[in-house]
Amino acid sequence: MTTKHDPVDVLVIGSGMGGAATTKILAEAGLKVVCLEQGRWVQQLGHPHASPDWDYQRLTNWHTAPTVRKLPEDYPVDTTDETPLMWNGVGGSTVHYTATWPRFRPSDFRKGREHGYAPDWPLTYEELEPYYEINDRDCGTSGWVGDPAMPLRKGFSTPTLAPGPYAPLVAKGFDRLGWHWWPMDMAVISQDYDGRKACNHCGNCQSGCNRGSMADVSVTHWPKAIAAGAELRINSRVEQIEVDARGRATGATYIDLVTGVRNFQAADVVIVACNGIGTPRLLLVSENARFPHGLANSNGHVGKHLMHHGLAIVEMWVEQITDTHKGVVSAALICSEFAETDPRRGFINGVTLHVVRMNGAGYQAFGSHSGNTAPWGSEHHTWFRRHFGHGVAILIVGEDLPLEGNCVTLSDTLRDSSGLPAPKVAYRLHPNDRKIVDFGIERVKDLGATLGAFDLKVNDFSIPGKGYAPPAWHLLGTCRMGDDRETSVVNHWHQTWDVPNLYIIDGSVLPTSAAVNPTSTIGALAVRAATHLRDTFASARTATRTMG
Amino acid sequence: MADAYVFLALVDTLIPGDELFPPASAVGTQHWLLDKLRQQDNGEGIDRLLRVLGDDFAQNTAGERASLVSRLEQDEPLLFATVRQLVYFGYYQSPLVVRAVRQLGIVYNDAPQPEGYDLGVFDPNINLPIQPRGHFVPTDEVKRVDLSALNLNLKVNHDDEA
Repeated sequence: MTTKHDPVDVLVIGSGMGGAATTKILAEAGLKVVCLEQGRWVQQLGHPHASPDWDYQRLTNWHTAPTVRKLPEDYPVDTTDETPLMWNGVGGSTVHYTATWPRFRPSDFRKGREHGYAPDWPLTYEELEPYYEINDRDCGTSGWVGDPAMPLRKGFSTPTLAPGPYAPLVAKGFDRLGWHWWPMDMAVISQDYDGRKACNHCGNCQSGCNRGSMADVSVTHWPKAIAAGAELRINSRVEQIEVDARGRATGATYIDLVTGVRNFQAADVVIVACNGIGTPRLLLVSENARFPHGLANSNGHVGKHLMHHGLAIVEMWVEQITDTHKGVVSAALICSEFAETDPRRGFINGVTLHVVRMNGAGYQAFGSHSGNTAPWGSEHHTWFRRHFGHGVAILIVGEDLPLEGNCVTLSDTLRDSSGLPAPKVAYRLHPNDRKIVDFGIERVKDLGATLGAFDLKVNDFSIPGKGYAPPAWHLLGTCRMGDDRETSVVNHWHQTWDVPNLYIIDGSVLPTSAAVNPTSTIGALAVRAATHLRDTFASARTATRTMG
Repeated sequence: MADAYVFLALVDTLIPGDELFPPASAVGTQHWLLDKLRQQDNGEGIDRLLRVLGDDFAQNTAGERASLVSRLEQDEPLLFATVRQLVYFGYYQSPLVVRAVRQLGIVYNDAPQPEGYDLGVFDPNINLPIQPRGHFVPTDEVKRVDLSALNLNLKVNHDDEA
C-alpha cells in the first residue's frame, strides 16, 4: 500500500547545502516544492555545547561519521578505505561541519588545460563568482577583502573573527618563511547578522553551533524556504526515483521512517542533493528496465571519480600561549603559498595549509588531531601542563585527482534499516596526491622549526598494514558535470544527460576538488543552477532532451 | 565490591593526583568508566579488564599496578585505548579538574556554552600581513605546465596497499 501525494512542481531529495539553497530559490519564485529528508531537525538544545561531557559527545553521538554514530536515520557505508563525514538530518552536513569558506581558484576550473589529468569545468570562476556572492550573503560570512592570493571579491557579511593570541603567533612564522597567509574566509558570523547571534568563540564547532552563528542551512535557509511555501518532510527515506516510459522522472517512492508507510510524491522536476556518496547510491538503487545500470548512468560514470582531498594534520607545541581550545575550530588562517601547480615540486595540483584549533582538555590529553597522547601515570600532569594551551595545529589540504577507480557502488552485504543496499566506497590516494600530502607535511615541519616547537606530531591518516584511510570530510565528484555527455553525468546546468527532468545539485557534480573546503562552491553552484531552473522552468518541466 | 576497588585503583594508576590536580578517583572517574564500559559490548570489556588486572589489583603496590597496566596496554591494546580514552575524557570533564586547569592561568570553561570565550577583536592594522604576498593564475592565463619531469599514470591499483 503506497500513499500518493498531490503532484508538485519540484521534488528535492536531501536538505543540505545544495537542497536547501535550491528549495529556497524555487519556493520564493512561487513554485510548489517538496523536500524529502531522511533525518530529523536538530533542535538547538540538542547540541552538547553546555554539557560537561561535550568533548566526549563530539566523538560519540555527535561523531562526524554515520558509521560510528549509528543513529536510526544513518545508513551504513561499506568500506575500510575511509571514515566518511555526513549528517543525515535537516541541514545535511552543514549541521556539524566547520564552515570553512574559501573559494576555489580560477585555475581550479581549468585543470584540463593546465595538465590534462583532470577535466576542465564547463564554467569558469568568473561565471560562478556572482553566485558565490549571493550564497555568501544567504549564509553569512566573516573575512577580510584583499587577499592577494585570490581574485578581488566583494565584502563579507561581518569582519574577520577575533584571532586571539594564536593567529598572530603562527602568522609570524609564515612571515619568517616568506609564505602567504591571510585570515580564513568563514561562514561563521563575527557580529549579529540576519537575526543570528555572533560567534562567541566557544570552540566546539564540530558538534554544530547551538547559537546559530555558523552557517548551518537548517538555520540560514530552511526557515525562509518554509516561509516561502516549501514543504520539508522529515524522516522520509527515498528508496526509488521513478521514471515513465519516455524516460522522464515522475517522482520518488519513499518510506516514512516513523510509521513505516510507503509514499509516492509526483513532481515535474526531481532534484537529487544527497551528497557525493548518497546521490550515486540513490541513482544506482533506482535502476529499472529502461536504466538497468542505474539512473543517469548510461555512460557508466555515476559513482566514479570520488574525491575527498589528500589530508594530514601536523600538530606542534610551543612555549607561547596559543589557547587553541578557544575560537572556531577551523580555521584561523590559510596559507596559499603552494596552492597553484608547480611541477618543479614533483607533482601537479596544489596544497593549502590551514591553521586550526584543538578542542577541549580531554580531547587534547587524548591526542588531539595528531594522536600525541598524554602519558598515563606519574608523568601525566607534567605533560598536560607543558602542552595544554600551547598547541599549534596545521591541517594540510591537498587536491586529489579524480580517479575512475575511486568510486561508489552498491554493497552486496550491507543494507540500511529500510533494506536498501548500503553504498560501497573504494578510495586510494594516487601517488601524485601522496606527494602533495608529504610536501605539505615537510612545509609544516619547516613552520615548526621556525616557531621553535618543542614537540611535533604528524598524523598522515595512515593505518599500519592498510595505508591512507582518511576521515573523508568532503564527498565530491561522483556525478561530475561537463560538456560531453560521454564523460560526465550532468551538463553545466546540473541536468542529467539521460533523464531531462532529473537534476543533481550537490558535491557530486564537482569535476575537481581544488585544495580547499568545498561547501562555499557547492552552495554557489546550487544558487546558479536553481536560478537558471527557476528562470527556465516552463520549458524545464516538459523537457524531453538534455541539451549540451 | 572488589571490582569497584579495582576500577578505583586503575583510574588512579592512569591519572594520579599531584599538588594541583586531584587523582582520577577523587572526581569519580571510575564510575564514568564503568558506566561507559557497561554500555559497550554488554560489558564484555569489564570482564577482560578484570582478567588481566586480577582481583587483587587494588592491593598491589603502585609499581606492581603500573606493571599490570603496562601488560594490559601490550596484551589488549584496543581495550586499553578504550579505557584510556574514557578515563581521560571522564577526568577532564569534572568541575574539580576544570578548576585545576584554570589555576594554571588558562581561561577554561566548564563547557563551551553559554559563556564562550573573549578573544578580543580583529584589528586589520595588526592582524593582517604588513606586506601581503601571494598570487593566483587568472582564468585566461592558465597554460599547460611542463610535465616532462613527472611520470604520471592515472591508474591506481586498489589491490595494492598504499
